[in-house]
Amino acid sequence: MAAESLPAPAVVRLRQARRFAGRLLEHRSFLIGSILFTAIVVCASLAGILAPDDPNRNDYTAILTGPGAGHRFGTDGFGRDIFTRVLYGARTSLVIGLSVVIATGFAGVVIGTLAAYVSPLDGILMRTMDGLMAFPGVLLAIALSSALGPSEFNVILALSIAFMPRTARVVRASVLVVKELPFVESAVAIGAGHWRIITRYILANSLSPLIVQLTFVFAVTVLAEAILSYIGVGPPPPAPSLGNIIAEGRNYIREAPWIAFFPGVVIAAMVLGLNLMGDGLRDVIDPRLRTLREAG
Amino acid sequence: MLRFLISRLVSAVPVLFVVSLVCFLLMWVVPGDVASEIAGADATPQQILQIRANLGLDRPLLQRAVDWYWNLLHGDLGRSYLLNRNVTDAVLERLPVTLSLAGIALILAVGLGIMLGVLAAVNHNNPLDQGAMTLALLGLSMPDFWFGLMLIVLFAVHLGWLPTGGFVPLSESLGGWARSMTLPALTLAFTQMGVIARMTRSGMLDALGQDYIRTARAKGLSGAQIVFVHALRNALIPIVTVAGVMTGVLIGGAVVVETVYSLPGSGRLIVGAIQRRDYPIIQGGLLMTAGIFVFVNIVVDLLYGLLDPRVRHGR
Repeated sequence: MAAESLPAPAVVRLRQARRFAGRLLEHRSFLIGSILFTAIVVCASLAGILAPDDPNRNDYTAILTGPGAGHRFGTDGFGRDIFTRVLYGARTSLVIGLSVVIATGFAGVVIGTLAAYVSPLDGILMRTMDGLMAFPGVLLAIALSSALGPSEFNVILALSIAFMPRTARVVRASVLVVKELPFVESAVAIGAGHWRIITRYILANSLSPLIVQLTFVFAVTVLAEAILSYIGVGPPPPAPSLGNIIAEGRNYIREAPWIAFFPGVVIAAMVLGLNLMGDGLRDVIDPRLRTLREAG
Repeated sequence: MLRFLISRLVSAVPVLFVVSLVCFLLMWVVPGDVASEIAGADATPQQILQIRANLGLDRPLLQRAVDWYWNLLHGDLGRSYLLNRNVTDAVLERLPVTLSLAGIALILAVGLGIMLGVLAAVNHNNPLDQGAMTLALLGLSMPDFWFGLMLIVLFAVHLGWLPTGGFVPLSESLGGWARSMTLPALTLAFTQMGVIARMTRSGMLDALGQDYIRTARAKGLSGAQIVFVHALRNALIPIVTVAGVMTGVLIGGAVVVETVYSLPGSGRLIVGAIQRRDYPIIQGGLLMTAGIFVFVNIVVDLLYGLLDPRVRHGR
């Protein structure tokens, strides 16, 4: 009879999720960050509606026009509308950022879990990760991207390789802790297989640090992608990537500083939003993770 | 302490091995024929063959790997065909500019970051705290090369106080050198200052809540003495580690900032090499940068061991 009055697991989970969301939204920096980030995502998704022009259309009657009514962010040396290009550039950044988050998340989980769960592999996997981490991440990504050749896919690949080691470490650290907990022992005792133990018991309980880490990976990726584009090993021009626009704006920095100004503001806003969200998530999930950001 | 040093040196060996392997494999991942790509569109077949032979690309991968390590152990990183000189010399010659830029930026970032962090912690939850932390987060969120360009617009183009770029060696003129390094160092430092500021703040808040602070207060020490002598000293220990990690970030960041300000450092050399597909320079530059980073981290670990005896004995 008592069992009947207990809520079903699904209801409990829903209630927990709601409580978690509530706490997140009460966190001021998470709220500000998510509003900032969502606004950029919405603008970038609606690029075709907000700026119906082709981002690569030249208008030789409006070369280097300052920001104003006709062109909100001004135009560049080819008369292309900066506002349009920034919207499409933000879209490129978001696509690359999300892809790198998915790729590093996947690789990080596989490598980190293998290292923590299969002890003979731990040494070789983690030494390899240490070796990769000995390169400044951006520099490794620049070198890889230049070797692989300029394309959006190669940028994603290069950035994922550069940022994967730290993610793998974070996963390994939390799996090492979780796999010693009593409920894993009980899972072993009831005869659960390795796959089930890893997915249902260990990973499900070590995701929090990973989520926080991936928010910061997203932020760092947006910055690094801009650097790659700026140096000339990002998505090849005339693709409107935010770094490309700034690189082009560098040549006009005296007479038309707005070309470089606006894309940089958008990058900063995007990264600021992600950082604020990451801080909020970390505080709500587990304040002990505070060191994560500083190492990232 | 000696044992600690030796164990750190030994653990650096596999790291350096992976680093060198990655640098070696870099040329291998280049799609298509590296030699004809380097030679350019209007090269004769002989020129392509010559380049291929020079780079050893006509030999099997394993043999190339053996050669690479053999040469590496002799300090030979190959020849740059664009500069037509030894890669080791070319990178070493330009390294001082990069290292001094990264060094100045590190000092600025740590100094300003600690000041900002202490200010925030002492004024916990005040507008001053929020202002300092907003500034720190803003620094973390801005692309460094863009911030550099904006500084150029403000200080060089509009105000005309500082040059837009270029480099004056220290041996020529101290003032000129300082003027040419100010904006690059500020650019680099501002983005990293935030990391230190945030760490200092949380470390200080932690330290200020400890019992020994209450004891210090009880025995009548002044506020400044408590903050700077008792709390800050303990909050500083983790900052040493972060400063070590930051060295790598700063050297990586210097690559980009050198490009923005046209400083003749190794970063600009690497970026130039990337644009002209001079792979030996890219490999060599990458390898040396990572090598420096590994070395710095060993130094940091030793410093850490000196500062906190628990680290030395605890392992």
